[in-house]
Amino acid sequence: MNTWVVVFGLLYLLLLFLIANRAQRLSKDNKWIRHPWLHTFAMAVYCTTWTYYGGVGRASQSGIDFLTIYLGPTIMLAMSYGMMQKIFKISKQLHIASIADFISVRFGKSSTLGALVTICCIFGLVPYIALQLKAIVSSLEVFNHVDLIEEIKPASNLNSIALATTIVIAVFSILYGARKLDTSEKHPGLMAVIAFESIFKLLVLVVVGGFIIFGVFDGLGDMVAKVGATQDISKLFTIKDSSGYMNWMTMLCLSSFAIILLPRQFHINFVENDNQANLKHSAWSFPTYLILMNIVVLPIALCGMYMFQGTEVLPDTYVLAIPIKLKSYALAVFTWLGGLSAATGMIIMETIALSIMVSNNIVIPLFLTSYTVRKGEAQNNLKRILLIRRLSIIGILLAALIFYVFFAPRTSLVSIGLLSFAAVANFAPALFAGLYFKDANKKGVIAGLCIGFTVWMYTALVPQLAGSFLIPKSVLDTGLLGISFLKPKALFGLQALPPLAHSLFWSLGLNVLTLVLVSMFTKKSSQESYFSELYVDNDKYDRELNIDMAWKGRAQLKDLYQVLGSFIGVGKAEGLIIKYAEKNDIEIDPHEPAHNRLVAFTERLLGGVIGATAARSLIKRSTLEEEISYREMYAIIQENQKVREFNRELMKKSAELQKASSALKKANEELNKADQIKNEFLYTVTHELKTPLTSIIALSEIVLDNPDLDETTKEMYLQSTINEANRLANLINQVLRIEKFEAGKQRLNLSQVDLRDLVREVAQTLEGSIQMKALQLELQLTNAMMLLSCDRDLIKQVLVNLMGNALKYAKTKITVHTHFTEDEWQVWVSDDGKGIDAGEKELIFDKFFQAQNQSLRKPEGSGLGLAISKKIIDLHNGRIWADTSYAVGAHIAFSLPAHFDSNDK
Amino acid sequence: MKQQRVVLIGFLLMLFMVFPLITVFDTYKLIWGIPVQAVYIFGVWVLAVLAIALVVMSKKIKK
Repeated sequence: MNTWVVVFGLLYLLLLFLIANRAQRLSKDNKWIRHPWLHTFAMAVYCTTWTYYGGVGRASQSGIDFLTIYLGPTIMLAMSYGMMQKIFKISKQLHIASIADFISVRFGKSSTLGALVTICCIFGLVPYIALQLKAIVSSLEVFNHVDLIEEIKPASNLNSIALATTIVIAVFSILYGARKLDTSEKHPGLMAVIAFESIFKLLVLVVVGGFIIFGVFDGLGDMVAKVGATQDISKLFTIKDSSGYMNWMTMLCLSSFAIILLPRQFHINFVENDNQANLKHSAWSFPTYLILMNIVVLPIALCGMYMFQGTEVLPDTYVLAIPIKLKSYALAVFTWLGGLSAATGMIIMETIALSIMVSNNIVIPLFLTSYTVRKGEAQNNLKRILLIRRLSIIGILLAALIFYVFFAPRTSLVSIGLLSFAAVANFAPALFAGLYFKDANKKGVIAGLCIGFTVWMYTALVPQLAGSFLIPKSVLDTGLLGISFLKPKALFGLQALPPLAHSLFWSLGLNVLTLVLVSMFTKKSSQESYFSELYVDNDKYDRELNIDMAWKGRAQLKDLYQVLGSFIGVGKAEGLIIKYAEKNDIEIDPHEPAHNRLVAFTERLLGGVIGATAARSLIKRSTLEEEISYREMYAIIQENQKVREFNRELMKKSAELQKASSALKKANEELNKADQIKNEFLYTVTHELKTPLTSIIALSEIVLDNPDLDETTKEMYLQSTINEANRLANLINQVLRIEKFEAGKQRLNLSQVDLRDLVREVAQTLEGSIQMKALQLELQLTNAMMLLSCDRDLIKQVLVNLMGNALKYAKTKITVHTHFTEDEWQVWVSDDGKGIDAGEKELIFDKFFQAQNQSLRKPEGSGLGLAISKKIIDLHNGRIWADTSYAVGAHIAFSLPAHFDSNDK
Repeated sequence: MKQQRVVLIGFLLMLFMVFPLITVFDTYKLIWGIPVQAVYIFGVWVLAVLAIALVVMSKKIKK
């Protein structure tokens, strides 16, 4: 069985290589590589074997307090929503490659601080990596005891399995995590594998949980009832009876910090991630993952307690032991592979993140001090740096393996996990002070970190290692050198707190206190002032960071080409620097000292290759950098502020200009449109004028050229001439009238009018035409008088226009209907003609509407009637509209206020 | 605006998950056969995540 499991394990690792290889070939703009869910699943590397095996173990021993490890990140991701965006922006601006870079750059690119953060991480996280190895090997051991599961004892050949696993992971990490030199370079293959592993471990754990809840038991209620009947589980579901509120709060606090400060989480969120939107997405998607992962942990723990009650089976192995006990071997193998994925994902990511820190903050700076970078040997220098990074990976894994062999058998998954969380929590004061406290300085942070971390080692690490060959167990009971005041679990006599809270209280408390006190009583350097401004007030700077840098030296451009060229080749370095200068309008003069922004750009590029602190040191040496005084630094900051103000002003002006320009453009378009409409209108009017004129000329010529025409024919021609002249006069009158309205020269001659009389008058006028077309006119007038104040002639004109239109289009019938609604009189004129399209019901009142549609239909008028009607009604404070809701015919109505006062106009 | 709302939800979640509010349901009673403290923690957690998702994904919140 064990051999088969190992074979499956090897096949799984092979699958990881295939996925990484495939993803590595995809473009960085590929939608899957940039998908927010990929980032979320990569973030889920947070869930290690501690969650997978240790969560169940913790749940069965201490109850629901394991949830704090996942509630903490949910709270922190929401509460630090803005802070995460800020860290992301700064990381991209400054090519930050690790949490050590982030902190050391803030405090003046201090190499000491960078190295200190890295050393703390090694001490805090190597045991955690070792514990992942332990989880892989211990879980494999469970398979050796399929028949006798109660008696699991470590086999002697398991160290070789740990070694083999370490080698495979080392090869993978080198191939996909340290293939290229630029540490800010993205690794899509690596991210794809980590995301895949997160999906796989979640699926397996959910399947195992489902299998237990619904396969072994009959739902959650049944499970709780059955397990509760055999043992007391009440303490598992109450905090006060299990770990207590103090531990609950401590673990919440630790896990909140861990989601940002763990090097692997920092690497995924701010180094590998190139899309700020992913952080917003993960604020809810990552907690969703955590809920799904943890919802099955308690049922698995309860089932384990039920099945293995009174046995020696370790709670940490319940996840795997349950399927084995139930002889579901296929599920057991998948469960083991899920655990393998949880372990390998964490080891790979943490190792790569740590290796970058070790190489950039310790090894490369040491290498650069003892070795002169040879100019013109870019390829060799690159190879050396890459070798350092790869050796760092191997070194970290080797350290984890050694820890595993010597110490891991004595420790549990959860205790080491919490130990690591407590270690990285010591970076919190530096990070928060760096982002929000301008007066925090390098000395304060270094002192705080040294004290905090030393106390952490003494109160958290020493109790774990006590009893080993390194530390005698008596230290715990009697204190260091027999001083009871120095007992690791009761430092300075404080005994009231549980061990974890005790360690966190002293380490974090002393760390913060030291940072504040030292920062208050010491001065910061000019470089620190510069970066404190950049970090704390980062919202004032753009992503490209096109501002002056704090640099004073005698380097010329050729020096920059050479120092950067030592790693990427002089030609390439020259090309990049010149391109940057051109893009940012920086004058290039080979004989003058290089512009400080070019120096900063070179340093940023170098930082991507050898780390920020090493790049700082190299630039300082290569450019004959001089110390900047506070006065000069202040001037630079002031200058940057001025530039920012200027840029902001420019942007504001530009936005205003753009707004004005678009308004102008719109006005111009409207003018063009009006001009076009005017032209069309003039064309129509002249066309309409030309038609009767042509007729008049033709008829007159006929009469003139034919004096012998009989009287009847002559009379007919003359009558036609008069008709055409009348039509011409009518058209001219209409044009003049509408112009009068538009010029505001039309005055109202108000009088009391009964609207019914006007309707009847117009009906009488049109009677002949109505009869000629054999139409029926129906007047539905109110019985009461429709008295109102209006210009009689103008309203009559409206009625003529509306009824005249109805006359043109009606097939059989015209209806005029009047009624009173609220404070207005309404008159409806309807016909049973072709009607009006819904889309045109507003346009028909446009004076140019018919003119514009000359090509579409032949109008039987000038097209000005409705436009004039609208003007008249508007002048009376009334309304005119077309109702297109009827199936048949056109229905046009107008309303006039019952009480109209000419002063209203 | 969006940022402030998410931070507020995080703060409320923290408030519900720490002393003294966490003690309100810190007793072994069953609700639908499930311990009430587990129902409380997972319930509040799910609600908070849903609220964050709604705020983050909402496009109508103006700055």
